[in-house]
Amino acid sequence: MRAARALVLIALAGCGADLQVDRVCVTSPSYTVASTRVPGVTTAPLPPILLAFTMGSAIPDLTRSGVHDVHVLFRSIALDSTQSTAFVTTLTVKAVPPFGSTLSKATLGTYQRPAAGAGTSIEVTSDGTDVFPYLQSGRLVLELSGAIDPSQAPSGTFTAGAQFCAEVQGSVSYL
Amino acid sequence: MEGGRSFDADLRSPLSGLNFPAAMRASLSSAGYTYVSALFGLELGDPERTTFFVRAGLTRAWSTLNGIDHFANGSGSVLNSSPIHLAAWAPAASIGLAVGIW
Repeated sequence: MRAARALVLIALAGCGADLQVDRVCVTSPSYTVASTRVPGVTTAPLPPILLAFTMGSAIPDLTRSGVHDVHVLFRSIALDSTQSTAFVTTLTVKAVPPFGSTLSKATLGTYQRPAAGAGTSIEVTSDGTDVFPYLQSGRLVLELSGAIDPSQAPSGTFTAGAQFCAEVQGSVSYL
Repeated sequence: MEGGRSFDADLRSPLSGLNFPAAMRASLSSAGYTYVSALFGLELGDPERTTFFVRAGLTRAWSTLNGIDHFANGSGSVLNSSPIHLAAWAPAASIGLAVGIW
């Protein structure tokens, strides 16, 4: 009986699944931004903005037994606005390490306002930096910074939303 | 060696031992899979008529599950995904009777 149980355990030890999802996207709730147009001023730094995305429920949990080789490869972040985004000249997206981590911020991608003009959305894409080490309790914090053109900023308030997309890979096994 | 394709079925119970991400568990409720098995075992009887067999081995299975359509993630954020690709190793065993009909 003991030998049979050992055989079953050995069989199950080799039993697992590799999962891959080309695109997992988290859409954050929209938020309202207050803005003031400043005629004559064409460049100003954009103070760092922190955006948090909760994606733990779509990622294998390394703290559970049998979970290993987890990767979350950054693919894109899209920012949508109810107003033109022409006031954003450049944008750099960085992953912020968890509190107490020895990691440094990782640059995920940059945006440069197109010469042809901007619409109401900004997309920053990447070839796939692994941001899994930057997750804390399934939550990823991104820092947006860059430069703006205040002479083209919307007057009053506007609504903005963000969508973060990544490729998720991982292995789960019984033991 | 044997292989095949299963019809869509609810795989949540057979795969409950795997620590699947919470948002993806619903995708297991209707999934088919393609498999190839390598089995070794014993066959007793007359190969021309009735044979009793016991086999065990390993299976490699592939499945593409439906993506996450809309998973409320707390704090107002929403998750969705493209289809989920799975490739799994699993032990396989079969026991039965093979009856020759001609």
